[in-house]
Amino acid sequence: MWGWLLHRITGVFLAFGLLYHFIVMHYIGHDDYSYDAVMQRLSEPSWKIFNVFFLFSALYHGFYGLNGVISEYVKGETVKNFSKFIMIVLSFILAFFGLKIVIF
Amino acid sequence: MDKYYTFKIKRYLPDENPQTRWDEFRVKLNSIERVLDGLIKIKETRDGTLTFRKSCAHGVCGSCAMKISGKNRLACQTLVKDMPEMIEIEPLPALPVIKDLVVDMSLFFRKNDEVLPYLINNETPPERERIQSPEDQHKILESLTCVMCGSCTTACPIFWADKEYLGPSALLKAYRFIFDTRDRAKEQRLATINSEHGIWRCHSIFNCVEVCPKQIDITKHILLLKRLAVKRGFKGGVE
Amino acid sequence: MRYRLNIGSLTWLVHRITGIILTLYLIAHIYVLSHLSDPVTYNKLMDFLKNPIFKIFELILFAIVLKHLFGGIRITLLEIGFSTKYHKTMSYIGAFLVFIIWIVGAFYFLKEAF
Repeated sequence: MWGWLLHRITGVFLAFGLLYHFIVMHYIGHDDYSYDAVMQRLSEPSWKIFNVFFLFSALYHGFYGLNGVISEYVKGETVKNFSKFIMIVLSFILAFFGLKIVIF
Repeated sequence: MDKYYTFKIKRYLPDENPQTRWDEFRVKLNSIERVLDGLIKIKETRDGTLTFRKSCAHGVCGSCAMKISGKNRLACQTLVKDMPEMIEIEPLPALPVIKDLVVDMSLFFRKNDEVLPYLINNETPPERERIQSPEDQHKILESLTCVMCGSCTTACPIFWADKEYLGPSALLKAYRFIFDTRDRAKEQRLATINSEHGIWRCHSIFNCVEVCPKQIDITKHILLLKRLAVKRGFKGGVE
Repeated sequence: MRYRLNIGSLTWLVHRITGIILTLYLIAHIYVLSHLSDPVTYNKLMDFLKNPIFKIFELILFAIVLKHLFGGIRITLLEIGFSTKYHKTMSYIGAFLVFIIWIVGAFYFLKEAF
């Protein structure tokens, strides 16, 4: 149940966060994706903190959902548990890389 | 007004042939007659081997649930005038077919059994009936009208994918007892539906609501169960 | 197995498919951003992504994000207590809003690109 609830909460957070992400990227940032512009944005602590929460929410929300879908279509307790394990490992690996990018 | 309808029926006669086949029968029916009337006519005059379940023929027993023109319905409640000229009839999806339009409902009933579908109250029974106020009865009124036809659970894509899912019918039955003020096994039932294959697997697809012959809003009841479980969870009850 | 699709099951199917696509996109997005460690490879990758085909992918992604967002809002509202009588209306309104916002966003996006 708590997994489900967190899935909903991260969903709501992502909805607002995405709006903020879009506004920063396209309006304040003027679609500037050059190395310098991105590093400049990432040096700001509030953007860093937001992105950590954003990253974790997105990873949790996405992989919880994906795990739900897979465990529905896959038969057998052991296979379900195995795929859940893979999902968790994958999300941790991505979290590691994501954190490396944001916190640097 | 009499009209000709073509009944395209999915046949499965395991004693003769392990393969399914489609049979077409042209029947003349009055437009206010039901699909069940057509099936009976076919069985009586064209092909006596056609097998289907029926009992009350007026929408309260749930026996004649089948897939008619791509959607689960009760054959006795489906007017032919609401159907196209070519009516496709198949057994309920996702359950093992025993013969023709008869499916093995044991999995369906097993799920209902899991939520303990009977009143559990070990207090000393009163002299007469256990009193329930009209307001309290109102809470479960909609869920009482279920005829256990199986249309909902066999229409649920989650059940199609995962046969362990309790399904709308069992969850509705759980609601019926959890919210019944005379029942005392709320925690036990909540624990059952709070499980891996319980309420959290419902994704509000609403296929069940689309097909319920008694127009019960099953998803609404499941959502009420979810809210109850979360409230209980925060109060430190269910886990 | 054929079964008739209705607005409820269609909304769910779209929500599930967009969800899966977005999770895969997230993986790709993190992969791309991990190149920030080295300005040279990063700029090379960025130049590669300036190809117009990626602009089209971005527009499609925008639609997918909007669809999943509004589908999610509908589900969350239902779960909070919004009456299930309105589930179909919410699907239609959501689809309409997705379309409008996508058209407006696409217009500004293409304007900047050209």
